[in-house]
Amino acid sequence: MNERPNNPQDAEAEPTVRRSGFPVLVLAALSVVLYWGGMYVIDFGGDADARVHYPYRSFKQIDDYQPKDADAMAAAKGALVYSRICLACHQADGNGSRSQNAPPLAGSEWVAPKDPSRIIRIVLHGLSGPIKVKGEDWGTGQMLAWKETLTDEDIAHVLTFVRNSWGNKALAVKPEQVAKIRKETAGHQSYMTVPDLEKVVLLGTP
Amino acid sequence: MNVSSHPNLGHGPTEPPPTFTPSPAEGRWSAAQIDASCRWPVLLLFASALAWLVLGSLLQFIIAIKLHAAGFLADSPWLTLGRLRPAAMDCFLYGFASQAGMGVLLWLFCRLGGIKLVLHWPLLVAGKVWNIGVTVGFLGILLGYSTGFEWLEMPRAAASLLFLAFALFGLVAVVLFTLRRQNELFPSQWFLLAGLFWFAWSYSGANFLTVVNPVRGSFQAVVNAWFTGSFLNLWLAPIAFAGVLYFVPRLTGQPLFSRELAIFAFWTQLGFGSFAGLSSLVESPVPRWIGSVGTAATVGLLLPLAINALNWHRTLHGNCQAWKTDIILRFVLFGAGCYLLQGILGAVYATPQVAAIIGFTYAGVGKTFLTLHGFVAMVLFGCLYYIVPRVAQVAWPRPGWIRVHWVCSVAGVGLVFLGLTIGGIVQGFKMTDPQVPFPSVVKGTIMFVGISTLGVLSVLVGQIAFLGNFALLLQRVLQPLYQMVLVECCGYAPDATPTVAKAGGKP
Amino acid sequence: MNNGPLLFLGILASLATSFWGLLIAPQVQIGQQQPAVIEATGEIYPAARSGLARQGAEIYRSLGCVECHSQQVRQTGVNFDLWLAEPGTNRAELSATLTRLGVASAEVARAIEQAPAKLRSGLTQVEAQTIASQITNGDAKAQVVLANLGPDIQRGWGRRVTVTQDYLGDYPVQLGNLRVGPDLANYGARSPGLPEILKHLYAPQMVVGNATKPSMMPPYRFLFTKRKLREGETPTLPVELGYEVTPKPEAEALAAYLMSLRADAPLKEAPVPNPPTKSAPAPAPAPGQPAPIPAPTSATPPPPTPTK
Repeated sequence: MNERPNNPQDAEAEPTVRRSGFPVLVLAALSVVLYWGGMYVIDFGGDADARVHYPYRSFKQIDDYQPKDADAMAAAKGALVYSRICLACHQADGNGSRSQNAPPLAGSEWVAPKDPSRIIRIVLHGLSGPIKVKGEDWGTGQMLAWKETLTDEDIAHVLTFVRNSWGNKALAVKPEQVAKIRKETAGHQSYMTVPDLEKVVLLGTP
Repeated sequence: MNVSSHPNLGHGPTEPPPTFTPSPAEGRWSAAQIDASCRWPVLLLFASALAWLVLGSLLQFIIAIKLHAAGFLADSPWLTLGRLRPAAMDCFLYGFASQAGMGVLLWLFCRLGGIKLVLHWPLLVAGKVWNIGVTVGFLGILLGYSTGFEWLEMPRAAASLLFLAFALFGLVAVVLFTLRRQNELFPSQWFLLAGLFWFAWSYSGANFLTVVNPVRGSFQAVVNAWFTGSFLNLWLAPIAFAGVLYFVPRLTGQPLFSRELAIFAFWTQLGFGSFAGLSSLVESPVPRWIGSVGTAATVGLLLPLAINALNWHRTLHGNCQAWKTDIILRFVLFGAGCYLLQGILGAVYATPQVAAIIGFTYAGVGKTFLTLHGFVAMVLFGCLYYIVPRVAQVAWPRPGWIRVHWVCSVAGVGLVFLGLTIGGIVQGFKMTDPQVPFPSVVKGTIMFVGISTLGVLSVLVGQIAFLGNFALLLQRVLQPLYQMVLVECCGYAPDATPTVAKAGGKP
Repeated sequence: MNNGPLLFLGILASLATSFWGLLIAPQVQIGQQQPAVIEATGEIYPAARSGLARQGAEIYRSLGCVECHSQQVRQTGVNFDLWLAEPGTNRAELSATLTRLGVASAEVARAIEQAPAKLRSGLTQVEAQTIASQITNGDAKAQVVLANLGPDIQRGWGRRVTVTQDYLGDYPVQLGNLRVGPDLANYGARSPGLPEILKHLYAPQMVVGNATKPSMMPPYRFLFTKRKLREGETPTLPVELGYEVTPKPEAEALAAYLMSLRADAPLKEAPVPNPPTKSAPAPAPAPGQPAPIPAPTSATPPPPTPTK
C-alpha cells in the first residue's frame, strides 16, 4: 500500500510503509518481558534498600551476618569515652600519673572484682581523699564526678573497656547496673571517699 | 559492479548536474530541489564529522599500540593513555557520530517532510559552535582538565558550547518538523525526534548532576551510567535506526514491512533503553536494585531488537541480490547485523554471572567498539555515501575507494571485536582465578590487543579513504565557486568551460 | 503516530520516568548519605583525606588513571568459618568433641595448642552456629566468623565489597571499568610505602612483573625531575643509574592519594571478617589482693590505620 503520493516515475521516491495489522504476538512477548523483568527486579532488588549491595540479597541477611560479640562492641565504645574523658589523667596505658594524681587502672585491685559497684560509684560521684592502689598511696587529688556528663551507657562502656584492657580481665559492666547504683546513690551530694566505698559490700566476697 | 554508474551513487562524473525545475501543481518540491537546499549546512556538518572521525581513529590506533607496548609515547603528559582514551572517544562520539547524525537528521526531516531546508544561518552557526566546543573539549582533556566522567570528560566550558550549539540545532530541527508538508510521519522521524529530545535532556541533566552541582559519592556513577546508556540507546541508536528504516526500503524499492512493528520497536526502545545503561553497575558500589533494573532493561532491549530484526528482514525479503550490487545497502545492512549482535551480547554481559567474569576486561571494550564502529558508524557511512552526492550535486570522485573503505571497515571491525572479546574472556577467566598472578593476566591479553591494533589500523585506513574521497568531492563542489570568485574579483579568465559558470549557482 | 505533539508527550513521558526513577529516587536514597560512625571503633567513616591526598586525587583524575585502574572491590558471596577462641581447661574432652564434630585430627591438636585457631571453613551460618554451640567442654569457646568470598578479595585487593559509603568523600568517583592494572580501592592497606610507590610511578617495569610478563603501566617520568649525579653522591631514589630522580609535587600528591585509598573499615552493610585474637595474659595479682576473674574474649576488630 503506497502511503506517500509520489510520482512513481520519480527515481527518488520516498520509501513507503506497509500496514500489517496489530501484532498480537509482539504484545504477548512484551507482556512476558515485562513480567520477567518485574520478577527479576523484585527478586534481586534487595527490597530497594539503599544499604543492600551485591552480593547481599536483603538487609535482613546483612543483619544476620553481623558479628554478635556485644561485649567487644561495648569495650570499643568505651575506648572512645576513655580517650575523651579519662586519658588525660589516667594516661593511655592505664598506669596513671603522679603529676595528675591519677592512680593506675591497669592491674588495679579496685577494677578487678566481679562486682563493679565500687568503681561505678567512683565514676558517678568522683573520689576525694587518699586511696591505696597496687600497694602505693595516692592521696592528694580529687577525681571529678561524672554523673552529670556521662550517661549510664557511657559509664558501662568505659568501665567495660577499663576492665578488659592492659591485662585487666573482668566481666563487662551493664548499663542497668549503673542505672541501679545511680538511683541508689541519688542522695549522695559530695565526692565518694574510700571509707564510703569500703562500706559497700561486694557481691561474691565472703 | 560498476559503482560509478550506479543510480544511487549520483551522476557519473562526466554528466552535467540536473537543472532545477519547479515541482508539479501540488506545490511539493522535488527531491533534487530539497537536496540542493540542504547543501551547505549538511556538507559542513559532514566535513567536520569526517575530520574528527579520522583524528579519533588515529588516536585509537596510538592507544591500541600503547596497550601492548607501554612505553610508546609515554613521555608527554599530553599523550598519556589516560588522556588519549577519553579524547579519542569524545572525538568519535561528539565530533563524528553526533555531527554526522545531525546532518542525516536534517536531510531526513527535509526529505520526509517534503520541505526545503530553512534557517541556514542558525545551522551554520550551530555547526561552527559545536566544532569549537569539541575542539575546546578535546584540547581540555589532553591538557588535563577532564572531568573524570565517562563520555562526559569535556570540561564545563566545552560542554556549555556543545549544549548551546545543540539547542540551536534542535530548535531548527523542530521548526523543520512543524513546517513539514507531508503530514504522515515515517518511522525514521519518530526516532530522530526522540533522539533530539533525549540528547538535550540527558546531556544537560548528566552534566548538571556531575559537574555543575555534583551529587555525592557513587551516585555520580549512577548518573554517569544513565548518561552513557541514554547516549547509546536513545541518541546514536535512534539515528542509526532512522537510517536503516529509511534506506532499506528505499534502496530495495520495497515498502517497509510493518508500520505497527515499527511503532512497537519505537516505544519499547524508549522504554527499555532509558533504563538499560545501568547494567554496567551490576556489581558496583551502588544499591543492588539499580544494577538489577539495568539488567532487566538490557534483557528487555532484546524485544525491540527482535522486532527490528523481523521488520528489516521481511522488508529485504527476496532481495538478496541487492546486497551484492549496492554497496550503500551493504554498509547499512552490516550495521544492522552488528546491532543485532551487540544487542544480544549486551543482554548476556548484563547478567551478574557473566559480568562477574568479563567485568573489567577487554570484552566490554570490544562490545562498545562493535556498537560504535560496527553499528552506528557503518549505518552513518551508508547514509553519507547516499546523501552527499545528492546534496552536493557531484558524484563520488573515487568510487573504488568506497570499496576500499568497505573492505577495511569490515575487516577492522571483525578483528577488533573478535580480538578484544576473546582476549577479554581469557582475561576474565584468569582474573577470577586468584592463583593466577596479575602480570600473567596482563600477559595473556597482549596478543589479543595486538590483533585489535591491526583491526584499528584497518578501520583507520578505510576512514582515510572515505575522508580523501570526500575531500576530493568537496574540492569539486567548491571549484566552480573558486573559479567564479577569481573571475569576478580578479578578472582572471581561465579557458571557459560551459559547466563552470552555470553549475555553481547560489549556494 | 502522526501527531507531533502527542509524539513529543510520549517521548517526554519516557524521559520523565527514567529521570525520576533512576536519578531522583536514588538521589533521595543515597544522595543524602552522610559519613557514618563505625560502631566498632567509633571513628567517622569515610575519613576526610589530607590536603596533599586531595591534590593527588585531582592528579589521578587529570592523568586519567581510571582508564586502566578500577576502584571497586567485588564480592561473590559469604560463608562462615568456625574458630576456637579459647581452649578452656578440659583439653582432652575438647579434643574428643572436635574430632566428633568433623575437625581433622591433625588440626585438632594444632588448634588447641595455638588457640585462637580456625577449625573449619566454608560452612553456612546455621551450620557453624550449631557446631559452635556444641563446643563447651571446660569453658572452651568457639566463635563463628564471617568470611568474604570472591576473587578480588582472595587476590588481596580488599577485605570486603566496596559500598556506597566508601565513596562519600570522593569527587569525581573513579570506579573504572577496565583493569589493565590491579584494582586500587584498598591500595592504602597494601601499599609498599612512599619510595616504592614513587619507583612504581617512575619505572613500573622495575617494580612489577619481569621481562616476559611486563607491566603494561606506562612510566610517568614527566612527574619527576632528573639530574646527573655528582661524584660520590648516592641517589635518594634508585630508579635510574647515574641520576638523581626527585619527585615533583604532583608525584608526591599522587602517592599520598594512593596511600590514602582504603575501603576495609567494618560497616554494617559490608561486614568484615572478625576472627578472635590472642588476649594478653593477666598480670600476677599483687599479694593480698583477690585474683582477677577471667572475662570473655575481647575480640576488638583492628581499627583502620589512620589516613595520612
